[in-house]
Amino acid sequence: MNRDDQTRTRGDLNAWPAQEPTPGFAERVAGAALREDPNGTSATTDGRARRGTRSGSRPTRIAAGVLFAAAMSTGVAFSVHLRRAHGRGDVVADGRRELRVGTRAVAVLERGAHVTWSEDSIVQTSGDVFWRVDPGARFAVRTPAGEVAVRGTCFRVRVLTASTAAAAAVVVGVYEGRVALTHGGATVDLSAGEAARADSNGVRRTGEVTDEIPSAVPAAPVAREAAPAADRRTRDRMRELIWRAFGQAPPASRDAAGGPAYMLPSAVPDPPGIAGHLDARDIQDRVRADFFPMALGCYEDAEKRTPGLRGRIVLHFAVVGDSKIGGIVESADVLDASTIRDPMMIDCMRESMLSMTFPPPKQGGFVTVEYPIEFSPDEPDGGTD
Amino acid sequence: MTARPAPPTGELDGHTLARACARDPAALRAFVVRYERAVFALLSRIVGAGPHVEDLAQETFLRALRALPSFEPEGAARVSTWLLTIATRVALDARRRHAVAVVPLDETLVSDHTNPEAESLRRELGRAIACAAAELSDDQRAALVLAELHGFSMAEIARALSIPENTAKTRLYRARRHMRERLAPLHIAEARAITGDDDEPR
Repeated sequence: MNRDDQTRTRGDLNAWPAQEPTPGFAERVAGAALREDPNGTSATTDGRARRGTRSGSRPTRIAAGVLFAAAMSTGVAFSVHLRRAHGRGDVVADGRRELRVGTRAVAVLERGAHVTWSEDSIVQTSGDVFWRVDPGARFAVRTPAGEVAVRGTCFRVRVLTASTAAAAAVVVGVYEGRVALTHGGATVDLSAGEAARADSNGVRRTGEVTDEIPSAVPAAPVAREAAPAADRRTRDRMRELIWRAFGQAPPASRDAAGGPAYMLPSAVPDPPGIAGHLDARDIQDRVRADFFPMALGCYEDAEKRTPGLRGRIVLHFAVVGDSKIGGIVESADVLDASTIRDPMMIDCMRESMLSMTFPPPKQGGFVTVEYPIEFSPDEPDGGTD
Repeated sequence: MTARPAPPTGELDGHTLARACARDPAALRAFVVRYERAVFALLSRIVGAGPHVEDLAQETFLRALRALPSFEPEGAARVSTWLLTIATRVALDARRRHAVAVVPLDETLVSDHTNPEAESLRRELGRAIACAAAELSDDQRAALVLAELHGFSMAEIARALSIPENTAKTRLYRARRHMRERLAPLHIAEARAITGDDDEPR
């Protein structure tokens, strides 16, 4: 091939569609890399190290696939394989958002804040986050401009600039308890009402806390079951508004009436109304971001009852929505194809799915989704080249 | 498609690489930002588009960052070549595990042109290329992507695919021939130019 041909070849092949990076990808990878050391050993906040896993103390594998039922107008089908450990997450907030983080913390993220965590190893790479931490062993939030260590308290961490490490700054305000802000080997201890800043000039007190505690923060650290219950109340309110927008009274909720733990696909009725359309990627993204942490919690509890538990749970759920209100899960069932038969885990998975919100189906209506999830305590190999 | 800032070009400087080795958060992010478009493009063309591409891209970068201390900035390999070699192996490993299926990218995801006629032609060409490429073997498709879109030499392709150089040459030749044969009946302008020359490998 001569040089002209080569030039034309590359130019024309550029028309070959290429997928763009997803927003926030670099932050997520950087956060994941910070949780590892170069040998593939994940360090814990108390300085111990675990070898053999890269993401947490209790390695867990989830393989998840999505198959969209006939109600999806696109009929898209694809599958993915994910690796997650217990209590692991990665969230970029698109608005104020409350999360349970690790085993002991509740975080309220403001828009744009980015937090990644594995168990109680937390990295906040950007934005403004209010933290409430259960009393217990040392707990730390790492930022580009220093580490914030506590033993049980309420505090706010605001990462101001992170385009370069040298320019990054972090401001910490304490509402309860005591906090240690460390930067470049220097540490400032803060008590309730005090604030400090760490940047390229070092770490120093800046006066008193002025920001109020976000109203969304619960009065006390919440147990795993409490948040879904609160989410369910929100969901129930949205559900009523959506059905009113359809000009109908909300139908009796099947989940409230109980029913068989496992159902055949043919036994699962569609909600009344018309079949709508929801982009497969929208559903996938939302499930991965919001549902997987809850599903892992369900699995973690079940594995305590049945050590080594592994198998598949096939969820079938229906999303209904209105463009002005949003989308909620109208019904969630576990299909008979599931191989995990732990009744409490089944309930936990259904309850968790019912607390989810989704983008509304385009032009309204409903979308049904079949979503198999594989659970096992094994860490897949991921050796380096 | 929403407008995106122009991607950074060229290789990352040695100072930033050194800081990334030391787990500096901003340098880690700069490393990913610099190369993420190339990695996503390579992966999506080898394994097909979808959410799994992000998983594979994350695996690629984490493998690379773990191995970064052993990378020699003054050596023969550029960072991009080294990183895309890792990405290629990650992609082919995933395909061998049957973890992903090759599915051409949804055209709605790649629309970023304002001229409707040119856009239409480009879409047609893109669809034809993607469909034809999906019929190639994994190694052939990877060789084509590396050679034509990422400027890999034959030796670099051979190293990325862990095959002898002559085998790499044969796979690239067959990939080009297949593309020419598949695209020619579609009467796409200058289809031959897309697939390169047809010299038999020696």
